[in-house]
Amino acid sequence: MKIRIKLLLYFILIAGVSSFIAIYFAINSISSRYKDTAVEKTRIIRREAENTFSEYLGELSRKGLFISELGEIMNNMKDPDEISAALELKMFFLSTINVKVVDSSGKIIAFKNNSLPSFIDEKILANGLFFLKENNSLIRRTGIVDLDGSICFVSVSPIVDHDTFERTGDLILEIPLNSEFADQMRNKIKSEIVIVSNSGKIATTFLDPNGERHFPEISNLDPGSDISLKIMGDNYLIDSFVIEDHNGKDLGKVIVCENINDIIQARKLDIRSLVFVFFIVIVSVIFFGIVIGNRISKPILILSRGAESISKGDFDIKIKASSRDEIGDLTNIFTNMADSLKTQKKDMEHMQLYLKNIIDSMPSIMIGVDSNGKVTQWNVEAEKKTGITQDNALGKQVGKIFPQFEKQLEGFRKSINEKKPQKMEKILEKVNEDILYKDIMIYPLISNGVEGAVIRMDDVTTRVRIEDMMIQTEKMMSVGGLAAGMAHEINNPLGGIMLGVQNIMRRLSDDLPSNIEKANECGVDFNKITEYLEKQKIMYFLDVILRSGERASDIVTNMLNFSRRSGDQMIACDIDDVLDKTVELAANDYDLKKKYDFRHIEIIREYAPNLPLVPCVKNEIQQVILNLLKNSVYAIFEEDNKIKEPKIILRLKRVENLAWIEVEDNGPGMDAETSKRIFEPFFTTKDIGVGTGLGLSVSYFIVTNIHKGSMYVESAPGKGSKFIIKLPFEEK
Amino acid sequence: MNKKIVLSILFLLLLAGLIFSGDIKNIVRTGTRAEPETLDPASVWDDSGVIFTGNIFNTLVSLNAETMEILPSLAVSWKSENNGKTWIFKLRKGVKFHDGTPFNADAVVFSFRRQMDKNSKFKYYDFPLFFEIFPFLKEIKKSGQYTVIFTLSEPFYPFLSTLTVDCASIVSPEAVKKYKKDFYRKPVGTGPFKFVSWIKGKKITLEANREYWKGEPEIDRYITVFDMNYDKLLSMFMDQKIDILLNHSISKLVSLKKLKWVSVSSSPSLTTNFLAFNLKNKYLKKIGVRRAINHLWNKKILKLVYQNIVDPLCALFPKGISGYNCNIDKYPLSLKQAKSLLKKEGLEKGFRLKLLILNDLQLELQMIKLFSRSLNKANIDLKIERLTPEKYSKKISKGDYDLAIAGWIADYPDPDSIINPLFSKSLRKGGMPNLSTGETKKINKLISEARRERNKIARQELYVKLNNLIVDQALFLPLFQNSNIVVYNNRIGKIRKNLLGKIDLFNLGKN
Repeated sequence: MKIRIKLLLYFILIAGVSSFIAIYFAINSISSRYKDTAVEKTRIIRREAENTFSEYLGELSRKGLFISELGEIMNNMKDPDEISAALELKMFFLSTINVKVVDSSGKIIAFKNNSLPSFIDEKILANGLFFLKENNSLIRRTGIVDLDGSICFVSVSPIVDHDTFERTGDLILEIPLNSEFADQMRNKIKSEIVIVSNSGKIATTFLDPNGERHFPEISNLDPGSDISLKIMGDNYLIDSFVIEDHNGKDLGKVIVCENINDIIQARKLDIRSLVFVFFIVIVSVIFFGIVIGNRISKPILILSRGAESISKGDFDIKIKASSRDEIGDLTNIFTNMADSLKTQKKDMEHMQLYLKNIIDSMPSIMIGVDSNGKVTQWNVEAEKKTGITQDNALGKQVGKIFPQFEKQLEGFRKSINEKKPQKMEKILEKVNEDILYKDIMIYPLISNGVEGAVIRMDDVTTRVRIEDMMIQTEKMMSVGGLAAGMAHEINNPLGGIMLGVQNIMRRLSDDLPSNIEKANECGVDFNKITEYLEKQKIMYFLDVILRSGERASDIVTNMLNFSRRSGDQMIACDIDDVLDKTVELAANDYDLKKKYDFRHIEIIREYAPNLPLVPCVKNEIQQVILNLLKNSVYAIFEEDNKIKEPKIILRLKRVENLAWIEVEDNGPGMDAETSKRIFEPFFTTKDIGVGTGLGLSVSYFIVTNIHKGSMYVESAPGKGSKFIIKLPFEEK
Repeated sequence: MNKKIVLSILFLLLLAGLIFSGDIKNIVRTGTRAEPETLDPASVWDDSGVIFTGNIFNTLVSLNAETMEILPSLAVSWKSENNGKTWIFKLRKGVKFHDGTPFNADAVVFSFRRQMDKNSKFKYYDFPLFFEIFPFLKEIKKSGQYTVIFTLSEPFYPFLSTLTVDCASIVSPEAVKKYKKDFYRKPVGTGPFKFVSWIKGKKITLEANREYWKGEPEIDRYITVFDMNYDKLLSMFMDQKIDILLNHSISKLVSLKKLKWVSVSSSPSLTTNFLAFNLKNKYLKKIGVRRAINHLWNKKILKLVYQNIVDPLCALFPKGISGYNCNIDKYPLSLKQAKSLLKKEGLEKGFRLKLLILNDLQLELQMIKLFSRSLNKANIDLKIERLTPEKYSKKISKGDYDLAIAGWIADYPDPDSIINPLFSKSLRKGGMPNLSTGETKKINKLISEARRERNKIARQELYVKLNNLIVDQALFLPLFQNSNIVVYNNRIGKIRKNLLGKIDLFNLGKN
C-alpha cells in the first residue's frame, strides 16, 4: 500500500477513534448536562413555585393585617352592613380571596366569597380553627389547613380596638388551592402546576384541546423526584414539594411540570451538530491526511523516482530537500549517494572503457564465452578480422561464428570445467587462397562463480614467416660458411677445367691458321678433324663442359657472396640512380638479350621525389634489383604464360624512415607454397640447370644481413608478384 | 503501541477534566442593610461591625456564647493580685497576626496603649468606648515576652468581662503603624478570618485564616453584601445568592418560615429598648409626668406591632443580665392613675412633647403612633420627628429633644455594660440618648460601688437597688428586649447570633 494511503488510514483511524471517543463522551456529557440543566431548571422552578407558594401565604398575612386594621372594619364591629360595604370597597384587593369577619363569639358577621366554593363556615369555626383557640391573642396567624379534604390558605388576623387594644373579632381570609389558584401560580412561574391533596382532590393548570381541565396521572409520584413524563404529547420534567400545615402534617403536594420540549430539541440539535462536527473532523482529517500524506509521500515519491532513474542509469538527478526532517536528511543522503554512484559509475565506465580500450587495442582477437560457448565479449580486432560487429556477435554461439571451433567446443568445455588453459598453436587456416596461421588460446575464467572462458586468437602468419625466414637465414649463414671454405678449393680446379676446355675448343677451331698448320704438319686434314669432331659431337660435349664449368663457377661466386665480408663500404646512394642503372644493365644483359626481348617489357618508374640518400653498397643493391628484374622477366616470358602487355613497375617511396623499393610485375604470380620458399637457397622453379636457386636467397641475404633491411614478397597465382625491399635511411 | 498511548492519554485527560470540574470553594454570603463604619475594634460600637471584628480579632479572654463563661483566648491563664487591682496574664505562644508578625506582650500593650494614652500618636480617630469600658485601667506593661500586667486604679469586678469587648481586641502593631488612619478599613488581627477587601457600599470579604491557632475554619470565605433595599436582599436570598439574611420583616417571616430550605433562628439579645426622657424638659423634669407616661404604656401594642418577636421590658436590665427583674410591673396600664399624676403636677390640661425617632425604624414608628393614642387620652400631645441618623445624633447631643426612641446592647454580659453607658454623659454628648440628662450623682456613685464590689451577691443587690431606684424615678420608659433574628439557608448548617449580636464564623459549618 502507498504510504499516503497508509498515513490517511492511520489518520482516519486515530482521528476517528479519538473523536468517536470524544464525541461519545461529549454526547454523554451533553445528554447528562441537558438532563442536569432540565433537572436544575425544574428544580429552580420548583423552588420558585415554593417561594411563590409561601409568598402567597405571606401576602395573605399582609392582606389580613391591612384589612383587619381598616378603621371601617375595626370601628364597625357592631355594624355588619358597614363592614360588608368596606369589604366591597376592597374587592380589587381581595380577588380570589374569600373574606369573613367573625365576631369574638365566632359568629360570621360579614363575608365576601370571591372564590367558590368556600370551605370556612360557622361549623368549622365552631370546631375551632387552630388559631382561634387562644382567644385573646393579638397574634396574627397564617397557615395552610385541610378543610374537608380541600387545602386552603387561611389567614386569621385579630381585629383590635386601637383604644383598648382588645380583640373584638377576627378577619379570616381563605384561598382554596383550586385550579384557579394553580393558574395564578402558573402565571408567575410560567410552568404547569398540579396540586394534589392527600384526599385525592386535584387542581391542575393543564387544559385539554377543548379547554377543559386535564388531570394527569401524576398524583402518585414521590415528592421531589425527577421524573420525565409525557402529558398530552409534550415532554415534562416533574418536581414537587409537600404542602404541610402549621403542625407539619402532610396535606398534599404541589407538582411542578416543566415543559422540556425545548431542551430535548436543543439537545437533539446539539447532538446533531456534534455528529456534524464529527463528520467535519473526519472530512478535515481526510483532507489533511491527504495533504500531509502528500507532503510526506511527495519527497518519498521524488526519492523513489530518483531511485528509479538511478536504476535506469541516470545519475543526474537533482533532488532538493524540501524539509529539515528525516525525509530531508534522507533526500540529502540520497542525493549524495546518487552523486557518489555517479562518480563511481563514471570511474567504472572509465575503467570499462579503459579495459575495453586495452582489449580492443590488443592485436589479438579476444572473445569471451560463457560455459555454453556463447559470445560475451568481442573486441575490435575480432570485428576487424571477422567482419562481424560486436552487436551481431554477442550471444551467438562461438562455433557458428568460427566454424573451425566447432571441433574444439568439447575442448573448450573441458578447459572451462578443468580450469586449465589450452593452447593451440599455428592453426592453419585458409582464407580465400591465403594461408594464415593462428594461435588460439583458451583461458578459462578462474574467478569463482563465473563460468566461461576467454579465447585469444592471434594471427601469427607473419611471425611464422619470419621464423621461416630466420631459418632460411640460418641456412644461408651455414651455406655461407661452407661456401667460403669450398669456393677457392673448387675455383682452382674449376679454373683448370675451364681453361683446358677453352683451350681445347680454341685449338679445335678452324678459325685459327695455327691449328690448320699444326694439323697439316701432322698430316691431317683439318677439315677431316672437323668432320670427325662433328660426327662425334665432340664440340657439343666440350660446350657442355664449358657451360657446366661456368655454372659451377657462378655458384661458387654466389656462394662467396654469402660469406663475403668485403671491404665494400656503405655509401649514401641515390636509389633512383641505382634503379635506373640496374634497368639499363638489365637491358644490356646478354643473357636477357639472348633469350628474352627486354624491350618488349614496359618498365614503369614510380619514384617518389626527393628521397634522401640511402646508405648502401651500390653494386650489391644493383645485384639484388637486377636479380628481381631477371626473375620478373623470366616469369613474364615463361613459356606457358602469354602475357599480353608485360610490364614491370618500379616504385620508390618513403615510409617513415624506410625507403621502400617495390618491384612488381604482372606475371603469373606464385602460389603460397612457392612464395614461402623462394628465399630459400637452392630453391628454384626454373628447370634444372637453368637457375642456381641462389639468386633470391643472396638478395635476401644482402638486404637483411648486410643492409639491415627487410624483404618480402606479396604474390598470388595469376596476380603477379611484388617484391618489397625496405632499407633504412640511416645506417644502423 | 503508539495508538494505545495516545488513546490512554486522551482517556486520562477526559477523566481529569471530569474530576476537576467541581466547585471546591465553600463560601458563605451574608446580606444586610447595615454597613459598618469601621472595622477597627477600638472604634467599632454597633453590631454591624462586631460581626466582622469579632472574627478578625481575638481578645485576651473570650466568652462562651451559651453560658457566658470566661474562657482563655490569647491569654492562656491569668490571676489577679493586690486586691483585684493587678491582673497578670500569661499569653499564648506561637500565635501570628494575619500579616505574619508575631503576637506577643508588646502587641497587647500596643493595642491598649493606643487607646489609653491621651496623646498616643496612633490615635488616628476616636475610640469612643475605651474609657467607658476601662475607666480604672491605670497602667499596662509587659513582663517578658509573653506576660502582661494590667494595673487598675481601683478594683473592678467585671474586669475580665470587659476584656472580651471588641475594643480590647489585640491588633497587629505593625499593621497599625503601616496603615495608620486606614487601619479601620484594613484590619489585621489574629482571628479565624482574615480581612480581604472592603468595597464601600457593596461588600466586605473575609477569608479563612488557615493558620488560626485554634484550627482551620470550615468555610473558606465569608462575604457580606450591603444593600439598603431589603426587598433586594430578600430576593437575593430567595435566589440563594446569599445564605444569611441579617435583617428581617415580620410579615415576610410568615412566608420565609414556610420554606423548607430556610431556617429562622431567633435568640434573645442583651439589648434594652427604651424611650429616653430628656429631664431638662420642663415637663419631664417632673417625676409625676414621667410616671404618668409609664402608666400610659400599653404593652399590648408590642404584641400587635411586633407580634411575638420581642419581649416586653418593665425595668432596666434585659433578660440574661443579672439584675433583670420584671416580676413586678411598677407602672401597670392605668389612664386613671396617669391622669391623677398629671393633675397633681397641674398638667391635666395637657402639653406637648417632641419625640425623635430614626427614620428607618418602621415598627417602632407604628408602635409610637399607637402609643400616642394612649398619650392623647391623657392630653399629652406627641410630636413625632423622623430623622436621619446624623441629624438624630446631632439633636440628641445638643439636647434638642424631649423623648427619643433608643436602645443599647451590652458589650459584655454584665449589668455594668448596660447601666454604665446608659448613664454616660459623654455617650449622650456623642449622640446616644440615655438616662444621663438628670441628676445622676447618686446613681453614678452606686454604679462605681457595684463595679468595685467583688462579692457577687452584694453586687447583685447593688444592681437591684439601682434598678429599683431608676424605675422608681421613672427615668425612662422601658419598652422591649430584642431578639436576634437570623434568616439563613439550611445548607450552611446551624447559625445564630449570640447574646451580644456576634456570629461565630469559626464554628460555622462544624457539627
